[in-house]
Amino acid sequence: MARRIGLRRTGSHSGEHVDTARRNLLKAAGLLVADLLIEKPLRGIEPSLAVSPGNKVILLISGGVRFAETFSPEGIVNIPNLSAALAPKALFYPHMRNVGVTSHFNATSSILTGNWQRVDDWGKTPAVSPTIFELLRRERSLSQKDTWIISSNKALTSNVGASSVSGFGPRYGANTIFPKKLLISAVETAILQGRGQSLADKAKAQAEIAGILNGSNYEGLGWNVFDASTNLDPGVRAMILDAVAELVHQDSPITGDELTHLIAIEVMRRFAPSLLVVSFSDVEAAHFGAYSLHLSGIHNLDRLAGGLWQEAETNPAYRGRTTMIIVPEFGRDPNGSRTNGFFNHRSNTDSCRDTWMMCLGEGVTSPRNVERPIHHVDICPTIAAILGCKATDVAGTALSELSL
Amino acid sequence: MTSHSTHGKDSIAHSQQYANMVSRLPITFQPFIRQELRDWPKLFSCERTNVENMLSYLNSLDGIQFGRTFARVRAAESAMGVASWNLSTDSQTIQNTAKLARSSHYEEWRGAVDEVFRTIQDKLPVKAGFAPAANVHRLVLILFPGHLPMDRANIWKEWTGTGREVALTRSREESSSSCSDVILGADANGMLQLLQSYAHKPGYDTEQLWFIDAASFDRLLPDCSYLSYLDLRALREMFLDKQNWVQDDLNDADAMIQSLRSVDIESLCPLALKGKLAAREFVREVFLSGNGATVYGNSFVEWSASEGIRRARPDVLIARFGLRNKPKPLMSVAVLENQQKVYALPDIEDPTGSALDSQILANYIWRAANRYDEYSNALCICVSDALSSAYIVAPEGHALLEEPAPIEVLRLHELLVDWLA
Repeated sequence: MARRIGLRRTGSHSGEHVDTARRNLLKAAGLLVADLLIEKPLRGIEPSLAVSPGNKVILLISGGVRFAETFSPEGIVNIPNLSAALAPKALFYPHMRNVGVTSHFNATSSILTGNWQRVDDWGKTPAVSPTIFELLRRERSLSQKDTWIISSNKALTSNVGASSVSGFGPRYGANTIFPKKLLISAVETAILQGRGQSLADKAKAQAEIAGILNGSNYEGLGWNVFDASTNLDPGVRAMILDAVAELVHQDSPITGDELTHLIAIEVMRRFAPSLLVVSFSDVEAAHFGAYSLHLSGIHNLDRLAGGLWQEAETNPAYRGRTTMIIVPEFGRDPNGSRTNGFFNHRSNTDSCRDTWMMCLGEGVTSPRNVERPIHHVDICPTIAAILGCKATDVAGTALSELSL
Repeated sequence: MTSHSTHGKDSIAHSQQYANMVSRLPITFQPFIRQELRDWPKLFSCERTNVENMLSYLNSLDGIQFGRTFARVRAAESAMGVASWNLSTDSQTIQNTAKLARSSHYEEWRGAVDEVFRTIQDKLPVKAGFAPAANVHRLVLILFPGHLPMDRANIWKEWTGTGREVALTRSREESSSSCSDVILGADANGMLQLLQSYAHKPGYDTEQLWFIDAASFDRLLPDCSYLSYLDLRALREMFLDKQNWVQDDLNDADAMIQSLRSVDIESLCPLALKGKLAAREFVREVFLSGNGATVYGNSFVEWSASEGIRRARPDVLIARFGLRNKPKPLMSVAVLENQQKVYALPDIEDPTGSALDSQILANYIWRAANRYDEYSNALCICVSDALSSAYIVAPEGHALLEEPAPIEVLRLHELLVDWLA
């Protein structure tokens, strides 16, 4: 049944068709060139030279948001950027279904592998089928700097970046960074060591965070960057510290998603990965019952998604060759459910399982709404097709509406 | 007034009559039943009645009937491979729940479990110890104090179609007090006087009258189940401290829960909970089951009220929302931490956010009540002091549905007296 969507599509897109046709031609040419290039090793070269040619994908995964608070006619007030600025350019699927486990790690792993994962909810064990990172890196011989996942979500671990499948695994996995864990670790350390009061001072807060990052055991944060065993790559550390400095001195509220966004932008500028996965979780304040803070998380998602897309449109490494996909892990439970409504995401209901997906950029030849239901497991084969690799043995199917 | 069951509070816990039957239950049922039996003295009368009725019914089944009742659950368990999971059969754990929820047969299992409970419910005689639901006049009174700036355009949005919105007025003498102050007032016309006499009725039990408060009530209450977020501060801080340092690991979380279940909390509880074992243990479970109850006063009010309704089915439930502070910069990433305790920046109240939170949470309380037959004849009144407005959900034919608006608060009180008399 068609869903009441708060989007209004106006005007003709005929000009867009001409434009996209030209872009597709250029894109095809770009792919041919890309095949001829041999990638240089990352270290010891300037970041600006470390740009991979060819298509790029930014996959933005949000924590649980209901259709009611986002793309419904009543909800679009919470997402002015997505609904008004981006939707007219987008391919929009109002029925993105999660029919797997509606926990964070399993939902994200299902998206990244194209198969419904049913592993430990807290990421103690990796997915049991290859992630898109592994498929991509093994088939296209990409370096680790070409695939990143930057996530605010506390329930994810570095296991989200690679599977346990023989012949794949961490050597083909993504760099994984969890900026919110850095913030939490800084807060907890400051409190444990009696310096909780210092967090009120911006300079001291910055020093607390830097102190955690500069410690020798950054792996305690659950990160995995360039296979480093104990020390963070100096370039990456500098990049994170820059993002932290920007975070603590900006006017916006300091949230996990803000830092994740800033680091994602830095990674785009310094490493220009072919596949960047960003996951936001400010919306998960819902678990504590503060509906207003949940809505603030949705506003952050809306604003920061716009920021990522703006970077993709202005950054030369991304402009004209990037497809951005925005999708929630799941919705949330319906009002009146025994699982306490918006607080949680574990009911077998449409409110929890039926969300949406928005696609922007090169993969979109004709902005429109596609009413047919699609599934999270369709995303992996779609990204694989965009980035020119095969995704075999997946439960999902590449989305034919996108230009692949 | 409800006539709660008076059977011996400890009898079943010491009885072995159900031991054999429990061990014959499907493996996924056993932890729930065993935990209920072990916690028998900590259960409310209503829960004890329900569990005892269920066990008594199951015990009366012959082998074939017993097998048929659980056939679908056993089939689902078999498909899930539960036998190889090393599931705890002694108590419900997060690990148990997580394993079940990850199974591809989880929905099949949930459906089978629901069917078992429906079957039992249908087969039970009229609930022993309870007057028929339709004969009991229940009241759910929800209050938004004046410092919550409710949004006039949206305040009753979630309630649309369930009742009527009415403006409230006060007499000249009462005009300096808020509507809820007048309703709760201690004088002869106030709710407190009404509840005092209610609490003196023969057979009264404090489980029948609940007041759940985001703040702290400064007037004398009748002997009831009074749960104040503010008054529970010492207990909350102890729970917060333990919960904050749990690792993202199910084993660790289960160990933390076990530890907090066994710790003596009486000394940390306010006077209102002294000598009330079931209410005290109720608070412990509310804090352990999450949903923000240790972090935000309004979440505590909603979750306590919803759980109180589910477990104790009170005759009168008053829920009063309040203010929370804004999350402090940076500290919001560690939301479980006690921000007031560790952070130098002054607290800043968030009235707008608190009002929005309360608006939806109030409706969740009424939705929780609506799940149970006992509230099919309940009166629900939600009052905003800031707007001098109320939303009324009443049984068909109730005078409040016909009363001309605006309604004077004293008249509202009169009708409440009639209702609860």
